[in-house]
Amino acid sequence: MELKQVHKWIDLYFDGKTTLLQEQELFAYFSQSLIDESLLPYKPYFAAILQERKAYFEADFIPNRNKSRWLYPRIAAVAASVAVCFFAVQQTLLAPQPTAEEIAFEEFKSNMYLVAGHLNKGKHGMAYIDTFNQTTNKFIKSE
Amino acid sequence: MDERVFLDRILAVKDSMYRLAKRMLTSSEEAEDAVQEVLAKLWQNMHKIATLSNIEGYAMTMVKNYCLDRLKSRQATQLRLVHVHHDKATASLESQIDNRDSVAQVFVFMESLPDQQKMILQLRDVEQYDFETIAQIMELSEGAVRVALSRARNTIRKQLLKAHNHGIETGS
Repeated sequence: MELKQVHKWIDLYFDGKTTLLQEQELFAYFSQSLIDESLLPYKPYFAAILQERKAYFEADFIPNRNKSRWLYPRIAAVAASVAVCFFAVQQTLLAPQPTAEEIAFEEFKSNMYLVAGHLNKGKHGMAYIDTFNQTTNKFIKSE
Repeated sequence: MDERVFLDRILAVKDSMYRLAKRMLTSSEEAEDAVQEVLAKLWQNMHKIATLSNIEGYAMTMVKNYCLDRLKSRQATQLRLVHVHHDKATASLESQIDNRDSVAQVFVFMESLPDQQKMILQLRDVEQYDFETIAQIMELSEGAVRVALSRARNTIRKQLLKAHNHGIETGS
């Protein structure tokens, strides 16, 4: 590339008016070992950019598949929990409710147990009635 | 889109993503973290992103936004100040007196540019993107990109000439 041309493009370059192709040629020019003295001030810039272009991302990127791997087991676990809760509630809500007759029968039964309990208690006292009658009969005979 | 194809497409720009992040952030480690995080986000949202025509440009925009967010955060600002201070000290000792490490000095010049100019310069000169792509990545108009690039390069030019003349202003 002619020196005059390089000077022209350098001016255009620093004004941001060069095309990518022109810029590539400028970079190629500054990659040479022999550069005109008038262009030496710009050499470090082109050298720095060329150096920068060589930098690369050394680390590996390992896609995190954990999300998708555990997605379905998580959904299954949540679904199972919901199902258990649903059936538990359903069992409670849908358990057969006693009818009015059954409630009345249960109340009657407990009342009968109560009466029977009192009767059994009183039965022990009935044992003294015979003794009382004997004494009473003696008294009546003596009359 | 097949997972493998998607992965290949985003990994094709990982080096560009890394270089942009490295230019903007404080260290190689932070740049690597940025790329890992952006790649992970892209991967997680694969089904949404796969429909885009320019996945690579979208990935670069994500890096740009990530870097700007990081720079806004307090932590990154503190680290950056330390970093700039260190670079300036190096520049004053080596390049202003001896001017031996002129390439390293260029990076100091680039570091001193406003964030937007710095990114545009990086995308054009290092990544060699056309103006349309840069405008998409930067979410700016092509005109705004051209203006920012011109300003960035002119600033660098002045600094290069000044450094070449051992810090003496030439008026060019």
